[in-house]
Amino acid sequence: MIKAEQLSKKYGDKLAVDQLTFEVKPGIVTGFLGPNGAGKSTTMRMILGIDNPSGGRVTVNGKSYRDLAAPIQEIGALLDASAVHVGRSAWHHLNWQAKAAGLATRRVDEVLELVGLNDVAGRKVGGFSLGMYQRLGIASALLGDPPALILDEPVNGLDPEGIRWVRSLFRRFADEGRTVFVSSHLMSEMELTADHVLVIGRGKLIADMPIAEITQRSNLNHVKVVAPQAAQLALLLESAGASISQSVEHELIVSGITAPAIGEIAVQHGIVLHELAPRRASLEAAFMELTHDSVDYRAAS
Amino acid sequence: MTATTEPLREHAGDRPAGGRSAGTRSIGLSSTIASEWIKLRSVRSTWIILFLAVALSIGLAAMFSFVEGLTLGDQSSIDPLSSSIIGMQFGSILLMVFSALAVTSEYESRTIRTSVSVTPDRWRLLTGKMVTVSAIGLILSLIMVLGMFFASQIINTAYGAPSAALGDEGVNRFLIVSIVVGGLMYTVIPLSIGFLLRGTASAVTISVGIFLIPRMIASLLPTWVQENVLGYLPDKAIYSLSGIIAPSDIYYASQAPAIIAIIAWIVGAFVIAGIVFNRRDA
Repeated sequence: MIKAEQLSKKYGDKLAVDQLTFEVKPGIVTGFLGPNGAGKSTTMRMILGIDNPSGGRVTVNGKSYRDLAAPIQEIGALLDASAVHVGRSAWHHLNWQAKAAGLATRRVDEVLELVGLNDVAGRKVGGFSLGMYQRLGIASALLGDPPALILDEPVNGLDPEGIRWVRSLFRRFADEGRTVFVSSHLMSEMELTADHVLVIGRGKLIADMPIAEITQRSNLNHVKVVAPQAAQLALLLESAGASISQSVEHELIVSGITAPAIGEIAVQHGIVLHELAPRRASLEAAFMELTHDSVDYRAAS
Repeated sequence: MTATTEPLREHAGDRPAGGRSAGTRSIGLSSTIASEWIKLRSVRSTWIILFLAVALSIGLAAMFSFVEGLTLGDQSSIDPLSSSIIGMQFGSILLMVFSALAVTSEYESRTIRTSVSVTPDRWRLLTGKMVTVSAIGLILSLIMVLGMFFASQIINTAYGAPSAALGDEGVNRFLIVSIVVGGLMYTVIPLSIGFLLRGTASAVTISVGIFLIPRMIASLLPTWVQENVLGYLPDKAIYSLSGIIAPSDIYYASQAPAIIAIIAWIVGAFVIAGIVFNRRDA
C-alpha cells in the first residue's frame, strides 16, 4: 500500500508535483497516467526516497521509504531501465543489489530465469537491446520478491511478445494480492493493463477512479439521433435537460441524456426515430479531454 | 528469449507470508561493503586503472633512479627515499581517478538511484563505499610504495649510489606513512569530492588540483602563506610526516599538527560529503 498526503515537489520556482493525495491499493493494477512532464516520475522518485518531498509525505506500508529496514523486500521498482553500468554483466548488476539487500545469490539466477535473460546473464549490459534493458529492470524490481511493485513506463521498448508478458505478469501479481503501480503516458496501454487509474497533469491530481468510470464521465459521450421530426425532438430533449451539440437536417448529436431516455421521450410524443446510437468516447479521447488543459509541451497546430 | 511463467514465490517458504521481514536481519554495513566490492570488481576499468597505477608508479621510480644513476657524477647527492617516492606522482593521480569514479560512474550511469533505493540509509551507503575504496587504496598503496622503494634501492645499489634498506633510520616511518596516509588521503578525498560534484571530470580535476596546485604555485605565494598554510595541505602534510620534507624546509609542518591536519582532511571530507549526500535528491 502506497499512500501520499499533500505530496509536493518544487524545483526552483516550478511546482513539479502539487499537493497530491492518493492511495495505491493492493490486489489491483493501478495506472498512473499523465502527459510527459506531468510529474509522474518525480512522484515515483519521492515514493522511493530518491528525491525528498518539498511538502507533504508519502509512505510505503505505513513507513517513509527511507525508514524501511529491507526496502526492496517491501517494494520493487523500475524507474529507468537504462540506468545500468554498461560495462557490467547483467548477473553482476543484480548481484550487487542482492548483496546490498542481504538476499541470497540464488535469487539473482531466479529472477534472470523469470524474465528470460538467463542465457545472457554473463554478457555486458552495454550490448543489450532496449527490450533486454527493460527485462533486466523488471528483474531488478522482482529481486526482493516484494509485495508491491512500482514501474515507470515499463513497456517502453518491449516487443509485442514482451508487452504481453509484462501485462500478464502485472495481472498475476495483482491476483496474488500485491500492489502494482504502473505509469504510462498512453491511455491505450492502461486500458489493457490497469483496473484503476490516477491521472495527473502539471503535478495536480485530475482523476482517481476505476478505469471504466473515466469514459462514463467523459463529456465526449453522446448519442446520435436521426429523426424526420428532428427540430421538434430537439426542443423536447432540451426541456428534458439534454444539450444538443449539433443539428444537421434530420440528425442530432445529443449529450447529457441516455439513449433509452431519448427513445422513451420519442415514443411518448409519437416521433419516429430512424437511428438512435450511443457513442462512447474512447479512453484515448477521454484522457486527452482530461489532460487537455495541463499539457506542458504541445505541438503548434 | 522466452519468459517463464512459473510461480514467483518459489522461495516463499523461506519467510513468513505477508510479513516478509525475516530476510532483514542480515542487512548491515557488511552487506553494503560486499555490494560495493562487487560493483568495483565487476567492471574492467577498475582493473585497468589499478594495473596502470602499479605499473606506472614503479616504472617511473625505477626510471628516475636509473637516470639519476647515469647522469649524476656526484652520486652521494641522491636522496634514496625521495627518488623512490617520485613514482607516486602518477600512482596517486590514478588512485584518485579510481576513487572518484567509484561514485561519479554511478551518477553518470544513474545507478546511484538504484543504490539509494536498495540502501536508503545514505550514511551507510557512503561509509560502505569509503571503507571498500580506501581498503583497496591501502592495498594498492602498499604494493606501489614497496615496489617503488625496492626498485629504486636495487638500481641505486647497482650504480653504487646511496641506498636505503628496511630498518634504516627514517625508512620505516617513511614507508608506513606513505602507505597508510597516502592510501587513505588519495581515496577518501577524491571519493568525497565525487559525492559532492557528481561528475568524473570535475571531481578528478578538483582532487588532483588540491594535491598538486599548491606544489606548483607555492613559490608565488606570500611567505606567510608558505610558512603557515601550505604545510597543512594534504600533499605537504603527508611529506612532512613521512620525512620527505625536512624540518628545515619552509613547508615543513611538525608531526602533531601534520597528523591533526591529515585527520581533519579525511574526517572533514567524509562528513561534508555525507551531509550533502544525505540531504540532496539522488
